[in-house]
Amino acid sequence: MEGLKIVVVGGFGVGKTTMVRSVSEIRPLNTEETMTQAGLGIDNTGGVADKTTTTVAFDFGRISLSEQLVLYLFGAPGQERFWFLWDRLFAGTLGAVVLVDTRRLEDSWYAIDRLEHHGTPFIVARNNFPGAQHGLEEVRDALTLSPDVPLIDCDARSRESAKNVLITLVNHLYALSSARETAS
Amino acid sequence: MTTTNPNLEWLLENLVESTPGANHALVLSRDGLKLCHTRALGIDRADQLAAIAAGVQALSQSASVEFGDGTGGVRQSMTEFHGGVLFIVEAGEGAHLAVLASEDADVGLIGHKMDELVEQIGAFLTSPPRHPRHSQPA
Ligand SMILES: Nc1nc2c(ncn2[C@@H]2O[C@H](COP(=O)(O)OP(=O)(O)OP(=O)(O)O)[C@@H](O)[C@H]2O)c(=O)[nH]1
Ligand SMILES: [Mg+2]
Repeated sequence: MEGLKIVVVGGFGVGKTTMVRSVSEIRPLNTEETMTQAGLGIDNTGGVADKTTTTVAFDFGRISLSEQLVLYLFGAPGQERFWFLWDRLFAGTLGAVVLVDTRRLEDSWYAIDRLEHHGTPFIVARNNFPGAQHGLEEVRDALTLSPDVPLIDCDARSRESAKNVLITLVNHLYALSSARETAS
Repeated sequence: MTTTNPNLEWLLENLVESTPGANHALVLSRDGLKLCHTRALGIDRADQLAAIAAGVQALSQSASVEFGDGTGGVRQSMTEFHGGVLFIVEAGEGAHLAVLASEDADVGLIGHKMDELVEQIGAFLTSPPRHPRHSQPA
């Protein structure tokens, strides 16, 4: 059996916790806290006005894609004050999902930057919030993603859709490693 | 947050002064923002400590839920590292109280002093939810 450590990253409120929760087959680790009045003016919930909690450590869940393949999912906290945790979460990570909300694309730059810095392979999933208008190709341009980074649509609330994102990531990781093998 | 309360600050200074080994104290919101702190901690380190302490408490809370007896809650988190000890207890609604102490501090005494302070003024050590609670149909 193979276990892969995967992180789910992205800006504040893009749906990282939602995604880990919707696919996990074990009770997910819960480090959500109610957003308090201390965060007014700091935590900008524009676009996700009904969001009432935020991740203050990290999400953790597990999903078996087959009898041979288990994914250990770590969801990063989105707010800048918790970014110091990211480098730890990235240690030993084989691949990452960058979740983006097209209404606030600039929030994903930091995540992509960190992953490129760590040399962690990733895919980008656009979480389909209502009102998302850009086509995927526009998203690719705006994020200046290289053509070989997979970019797909998802609904983080749906188990099937979230699972499909993870399968896309795993396929990407296998493709990268077999490309490396043929190259050597 | 700018509603730093001079009386609370004074109580925190007093806690640190009257407790041997205690160096800094901070009240933080559960979502990781400083509410008030002793002066010597400084703003930057208060911001850092607030985020760290909120994360530690959230993980401790999960340990309590998974492995505790079901009554819930975290009595205290204590982290010993080279050069110091970090204590965190739940304060009033939506808040925690954190104390940084020297390595050789009396652990029992610090815990006791922190509980005492929360008992006295926990009602003021709060950070209310940002959104009025969504009324859930019962
Ligand atoms: N419409 C819609 N809403 C979603 C979707 N995914 C998440 N949400 C909502 O968006 C909000 C943000 O979701 P979270 O999962 O908490 O986001 P997060 O990225 O973990 O946030 P932080 O940990 O605070 O950075 C919540 O209110 C969700 O219910 C989606 O696919 N569509
Ligand atoms: Mg989250």
